[in-house]
Amino acid sequence: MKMKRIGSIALTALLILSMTLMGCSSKENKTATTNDGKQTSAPSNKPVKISIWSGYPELDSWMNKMAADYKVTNPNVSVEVVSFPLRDFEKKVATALPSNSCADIISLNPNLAMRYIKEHMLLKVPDDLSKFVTGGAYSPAVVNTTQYEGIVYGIPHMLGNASLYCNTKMFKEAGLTEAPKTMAQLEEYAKKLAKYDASGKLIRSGFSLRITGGGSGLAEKFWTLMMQNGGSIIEEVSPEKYRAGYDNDAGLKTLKMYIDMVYKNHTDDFNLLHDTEAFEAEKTAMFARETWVIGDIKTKAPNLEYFTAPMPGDSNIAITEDFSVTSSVKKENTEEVWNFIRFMMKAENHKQMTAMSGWQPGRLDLDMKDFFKENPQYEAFFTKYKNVNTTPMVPEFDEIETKFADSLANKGYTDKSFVDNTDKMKAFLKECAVETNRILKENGHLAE
Amino acid sequence: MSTMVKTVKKRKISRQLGFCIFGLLPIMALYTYLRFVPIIRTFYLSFHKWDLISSKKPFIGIDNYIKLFQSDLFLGTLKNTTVIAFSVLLLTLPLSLLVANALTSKVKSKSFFESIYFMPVIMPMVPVTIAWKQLLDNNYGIVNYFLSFFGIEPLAWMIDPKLAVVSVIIITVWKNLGYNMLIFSVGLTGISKEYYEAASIDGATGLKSFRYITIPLLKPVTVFVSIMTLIKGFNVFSTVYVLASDTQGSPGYVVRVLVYDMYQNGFGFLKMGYASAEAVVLFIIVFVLTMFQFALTSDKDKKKHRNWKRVKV
Repeated sequence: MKMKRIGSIALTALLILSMTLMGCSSKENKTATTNDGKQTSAPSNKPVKISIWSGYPELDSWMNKMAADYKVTNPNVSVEVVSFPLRDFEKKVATALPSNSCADIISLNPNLAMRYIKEHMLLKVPDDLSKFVTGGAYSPAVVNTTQYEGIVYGIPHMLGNASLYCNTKMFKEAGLTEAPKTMAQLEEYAKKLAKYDASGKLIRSGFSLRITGGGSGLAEKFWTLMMQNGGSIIEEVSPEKYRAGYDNDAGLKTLKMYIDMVYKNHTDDFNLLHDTEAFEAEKTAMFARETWVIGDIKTKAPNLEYFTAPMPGDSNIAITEDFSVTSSVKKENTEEVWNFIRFMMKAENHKQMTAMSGWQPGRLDLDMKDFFKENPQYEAFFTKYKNVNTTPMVPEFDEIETKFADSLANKGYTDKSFVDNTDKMKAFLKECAVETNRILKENGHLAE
Repeated sequence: MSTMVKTVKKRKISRQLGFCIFGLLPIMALYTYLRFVPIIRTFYLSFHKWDLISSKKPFIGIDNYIKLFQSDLFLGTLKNTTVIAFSVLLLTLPLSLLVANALTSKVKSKSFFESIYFMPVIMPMVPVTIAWKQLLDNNYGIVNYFLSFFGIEPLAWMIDPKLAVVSVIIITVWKNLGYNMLIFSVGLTGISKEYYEAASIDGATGLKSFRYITIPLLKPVTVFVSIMTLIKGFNVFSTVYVLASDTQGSPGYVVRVLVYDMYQNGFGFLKMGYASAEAVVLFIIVFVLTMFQFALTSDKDKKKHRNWKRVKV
C-alpha cells in the first residue's frame, strides 16, 4: 500500500514538473506587434543592437561595411551580420520567425516572405520607403512581388538574373568572336568549344549544364534556358491559378537540348566539373549564372580571361531578395532598424553592394555607368529583356521546383534512352507535370 | 519481535526508495519533457495539416498517412533507407566480429589497433563526410586512382544512382565498424575460457570453436549490435545531407533517405503534419526492431536463468 502511495505521488510530481517545464518554455511576445510602420519611439542614445540575417555570405562584406559606416554617425547602434547557406537560412527563418527568435532584418525571397506576411510576422514598410519602392526605382514586375493586398512588406535590395560567361581564349581558339545569340547557336557553339583527348574522352565541356547537385537550383537553371524557348515552370492561367508550364514544346525542346548535349553531341559529361568551379578551373568554355560569379572569379581565378553576354533569347528570370523587418524586433528598436535600412538603400551605399558582393541591386534609378567602365563584365546583366519572369507568388513554388529538379536529376538527365526519343521525353515531362499540378491542387492554386 | 524488525526494515526501505524516487524526479521530468512530450506531439501533429507558421491546424485524420503511402517519392525513400540500413548491417556485423575476434586473441599492440578502429566513431560526421566526398570524387578521388591500378575505369561515385547509395553505405560502415567491434570485444571477453579449453580437448579449435562456441555464446551481443546498427542505418541523415550539398554533389532524389525527406518536408516545404507522419513511420520501424530485439534476447535469457537455477539446486 505504502509503495503504491509513494509511486502515485512520484508520478503526480513528475507530471506536474513536466507541465511546469512546458509552461516555462512558452515565451511572452514582448516584441513589436505594431505593424503599421509608424515610429514607435523617439530615437535615443541608448545602445541599440540590430541583427541582420541573410542566405548569401557574399553580402557580408557589404553589410559589415554599412554597419561600420552607420556607426560613425550613430555610435550607439551596433549591427550584427550573420549569413548562412541559402537553403539552411530559409529553414532557419521558418523555425525562428514563429518562435520570435529571428533577426530584426532578414533578406528573403518575396515568394517565401508571402507566408510570413499572411501570419503577421513581417512588418509593413513605412510610408516613405513604400513610396520609394513603388515610385519607379524598380520594374513593375519586381514591385508586384513586394506587395500583399496593396501594402509593401519588403525592400528589394538584390536581383539575380543569368547571363552567359564565355572564356575569351577558348572562343578565340574556336574562331568565335562573340557569344551565341540564339539557343540554336548555343548548341552549335558548344560543339565547337568542347575539347576531347586522344581517346575521344571529353576533357572540356562546350557549355556547362547544371545537371548535378541538390536543391531547386537545377530546375531554376532549366527554367532560365527554357524561358528562351517560351516555357516556364508554372504558368499563371488566371489570378492565383497556375498549372505546369513545361509539359509542352518549350519544355521538350529544352530537355532535348540537355540530352543531346550530354549523350548525342557529347559537349558535356557527368564526370566533368560543372558550374562556376568548372569555369574557374577552365574545364568549360561557357555557362550561365548570376553576377556573384564575377566577384568569385576575382578571388579564385583573377587571371581568367572572360567576357559576359546576355542570354541567347529575349527572356530572363529576375529573382529578388528583399529586406524585411520581422516581428522578432524589439518595439523600442523598430525605428532604428528602419533607419539602418534607409541608410543601406541610399544610392551611393547601395551601389557599393555590387562592387563588394557581385550581386546587382536590381534598381532602375542607379547610374552605373562609371561602375561599368571599371567592371565591364556586369553590363550584360543589366540588359533590358522583353520577357522577365519573377518567382511565382505561391508558397509551394519551392516544393514544385525542388521536386522537378529531383526528377530531372534522377530520371531526366541520366536516361540515355531519351536520345531522339521524343515520345519518351514527352511522357517524362507529363509525369513531372502531374506531380507539379498535384502540389498546386493541394494548395488550392491549380487552374482546373 | 521478528515482526517488529520486519516492519522497521520495511519502513527504512520505503524511505530510501522514496528518497531515490524524489531525487530522480527533476531529471525524469526534464527527460519526459524533452523526449516523451515531443514524441506524443509528433503523433498528434501527424493527424493535422500544419505549415509550422500558421495558427490554424485543421484535423485531417489519416490523410497524411494515405498521401505518404501513395507517394512514389516516399516509397522510394523508404526503399533507399531500408537498402542502406540492411546493407550496413550485413557488412558491419561480420567485419566487426572478425576484427574483435582478432583483437581479443594475443595480438601485439592491441590497444593501438583498437584505437585505430575506434577513431572513426569519435570523429564528427560532417568533416568525415566532406573528406570522403573528396576521396570518392569522380575526377580527382583517391579511390578511383586506387581502382585504376586494377584497370577499373573511374567510377561516378557521386553521380551514378546506384554508386551514390554504395558511397553512403561505405561511409556508414567505416564510421560504425569501431563501435560494433568494441561491443563484440566486450562480449568475447565475457566468454569463459573453460569452453574453449573443453573444446580443444575434444579437438575443436580455430574455426570450429569460433563457429560452435563463440557465435552461439555471442548471440545476445550479436542481436543487440544488429538492432542498434539497423536503427542507426534507418536514421542516416548527415552523410546524405553533406554528400548532396553542392552543385558537384549527388542528386538529392537518388540518396534521399527517410530523415532527409522528413527534414525537407518539415522545414523546407513546411508540411509539418506530413513530416510528422513520416516520423511516426520511422518510430514504428525502430519500435518494432527494438521489440524484436527484446523478444529474441529476454525470453531466452529468462529460460536459461531458470534452467541454471534448477541445475544449481
